[in-house]
Amino acid sequence: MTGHDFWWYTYGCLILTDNSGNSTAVSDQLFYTNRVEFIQLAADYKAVNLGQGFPDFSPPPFIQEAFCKAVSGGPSMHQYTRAFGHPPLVKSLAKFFSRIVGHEIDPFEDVLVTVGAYQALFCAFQALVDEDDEVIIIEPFFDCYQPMVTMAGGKAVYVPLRPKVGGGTVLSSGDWVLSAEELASKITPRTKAIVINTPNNPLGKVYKTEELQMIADLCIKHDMLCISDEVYEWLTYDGAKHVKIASLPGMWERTITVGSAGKTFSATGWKVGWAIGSGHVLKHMKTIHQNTVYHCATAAQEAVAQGFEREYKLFGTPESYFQQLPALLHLKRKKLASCLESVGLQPIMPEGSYFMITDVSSVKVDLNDQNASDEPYDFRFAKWLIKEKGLATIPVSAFYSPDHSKEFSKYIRFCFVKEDSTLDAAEDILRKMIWFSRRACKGV
Amino acid sequence: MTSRHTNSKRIEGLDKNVWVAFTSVAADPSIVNLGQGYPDIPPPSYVTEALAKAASVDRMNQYTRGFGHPSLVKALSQVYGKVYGRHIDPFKEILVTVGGYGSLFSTMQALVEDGDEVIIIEPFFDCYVPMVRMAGAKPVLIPLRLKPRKKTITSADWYLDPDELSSKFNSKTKAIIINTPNNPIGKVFTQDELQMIANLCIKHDTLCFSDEVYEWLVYKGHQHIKIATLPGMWDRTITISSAGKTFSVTGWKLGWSIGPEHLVKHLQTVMQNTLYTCPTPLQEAVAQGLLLNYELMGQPECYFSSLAEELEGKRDRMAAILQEAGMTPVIPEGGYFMLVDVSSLNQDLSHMVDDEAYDYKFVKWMIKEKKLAAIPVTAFVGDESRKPFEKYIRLCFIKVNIKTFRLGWTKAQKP
Repeated sequence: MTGHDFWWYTYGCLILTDNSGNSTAVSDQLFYTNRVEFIQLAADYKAVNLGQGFPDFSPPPFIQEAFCKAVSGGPSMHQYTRAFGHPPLVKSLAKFFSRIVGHEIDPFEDVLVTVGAYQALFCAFQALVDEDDEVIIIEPFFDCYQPMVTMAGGKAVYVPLRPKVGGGTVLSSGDWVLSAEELASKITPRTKAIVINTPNNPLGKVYKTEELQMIADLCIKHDMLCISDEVYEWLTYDGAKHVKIASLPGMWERTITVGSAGKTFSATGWKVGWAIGSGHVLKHMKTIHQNTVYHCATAAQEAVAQGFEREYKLFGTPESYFQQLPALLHLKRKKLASCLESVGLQPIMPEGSYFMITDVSSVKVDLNDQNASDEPYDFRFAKWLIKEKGLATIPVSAFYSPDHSKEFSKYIRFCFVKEDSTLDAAEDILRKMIWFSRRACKGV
Repeated sequence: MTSRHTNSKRIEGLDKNVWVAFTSVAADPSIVNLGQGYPDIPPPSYVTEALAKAASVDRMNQYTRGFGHPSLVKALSQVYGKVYGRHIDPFKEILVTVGGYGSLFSTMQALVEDGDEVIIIEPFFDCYVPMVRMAGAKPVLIPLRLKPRKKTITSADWYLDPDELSSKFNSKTKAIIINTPNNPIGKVFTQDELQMIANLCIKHDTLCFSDEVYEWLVYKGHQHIKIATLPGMWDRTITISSAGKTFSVTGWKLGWSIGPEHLVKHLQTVMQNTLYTCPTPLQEAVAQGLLLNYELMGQPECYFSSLAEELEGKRDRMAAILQEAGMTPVIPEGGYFMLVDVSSLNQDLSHMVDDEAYDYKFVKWMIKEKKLAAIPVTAFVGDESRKPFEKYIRLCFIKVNIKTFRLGWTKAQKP
């Protein structure tokens, strides 16, 4: 593979099939996602890490205690539990989410526990997408969707969110919208499903009810499935409300909603996730699950179950972690945004999620990388930022298909779910960098 | 109307399996469960303590390296470097997975494709066939055959016919899956047997997927041999292991694949596109367990040998109880399962009208009448091998109190 291929986001297909249906050997190709490479770079350069999406502070004490309690909870906590989900966990998830979705969720039929939301997504695509099925992916998208669609033999069809034209500068993720006409034009008789992610990674957009209704109308009209990645469901700011598309009329029976304990309880390293949906769809995901990993770790599931029991009781009250965490992150979001603005950068205020994207085209620096001149600008900038300045971010065109990435290659993504000291360190680097670049521009 | 909501073709016919059928039944607390393979003996305390300790460190609750937590892959490199007698690169020749099961899946998805054939030896851990099929390939089965009957039967009495095995290899053969010690029989493949398989792999340029999750559970007089250590085999073998079976923590669901970089890198790609990373605190705790035992390797206190010693006693007690009850156990050389020939009981099950094999009927009858759960062995073979195996049931003996089994059986009337 050439150096260029190494950095470009490639169609991650393990089994390449040409037009005649012939498969080529896997041993000829190796595919990385760019996100993985930037994560490695951040580690190599010991950068201040605002790149990868995980908290650098601890999970809340109550969840850590629940885990310790599970670990010392006797031999059964260390042996296999029910394959499709530890009974206390599926029961607490069903109870908790029934109230929100407005539908009675059966813990044993309608819930599948997985190794992180990542595996839930994998099960959904493997269970439901066949050779030549089309799957609509809204850009910018969490980068695993596309290789998963391809691995299932499907074809990814992209529809980008676009900043609204007119009405001043684009300042909020709410200004990025989906064109109903453009979306409708992408649907063909082969379209099996659409993947949505709300709150969105990397943009932070929180889809409004009307926007979800538009998507729902198309799903119903064309009998499409909807895979709804809602891992950041509790992280909304400025009064934005997270709406579950599964709760809209006609959507329960065709939606798979994916959730994450890692993002919910700030414990990404536990890798506990779930898919919730109608049993007749979930059962196929269970078949995939039972032929791939079969069981998930017991103790972590027990702890997450306890976490949801607590949150069920405290729901809507100030003691609820689902209130406290977004309140905490709201402040950090504000801190990062102020810092970016103070150095002349223009962040797009996210309505939700862990992330904030910023236009860096106004920063004039010599990236000193002549050999990479055909790489997208944001990749080059982000690499320079890690290597020369010790600050890790992720280039946003990594979240776009090759067809559209050139339009969106001036943004980088920051994760603000970090200790204030980390955000301060980032601020320090940015101030010095902008000062330096201004001097450079002045020819000093 | 709901035509779009049907399953993808890759899982057609893969929805049923023996565990789905039997584990919910055995969840009834009034039933003595010797079916599913997990210990009810506690894991070593240092392992659970290491987990509690790991979880108290902030960073250990967040994502770690996708292909395996650094301290774990380094510990694995140390332990297995010693076992294999070669340097094993922790970052390029190891992948940490969700149990041995996840390793099997990653291996199939990475290396097997549409139109391939994969040789599977019967009886086989039941997931091999659906995983091969899900990868679009064809399972080619070959049974272990029983040598002419002696008085006491051991797992060593089952053998692979060399000519029969050779006939299964052809230009489409991508790989052969071996499992040693074998589940369910408990056979520990000998050097000669492995060499015979290796010769065929080299001759036909096929891969070898070696499921060695019970690698430490080998009883006196027998030795676990890694096929990957035979000449010409390292470069074509993926060896699969399990923390769950090694440390009696099946509920941790951690395993690993070890092999040459040019194969492991594809497993890593699968990992990256399926679940990305395994849980961090569990990996840290397993690393601690491995390092502790690395220092003790070769000594009686080492868990890798002390567990086998403890289980050998349970094995022998179970065999004696079964013989007393009029059944014929197959003494395993390794693993924690025992096959039992129930035909000498002459239990009449003609009232059970299903088309199921005898062992399925027997197990169902036994659960109902004797409050004892086991697993029918024909779950581990293809249809054509049903006849020779349907008189066997599989019992798991990694249980605290074998006496409970005795009580369970003699409570009801003997046939």
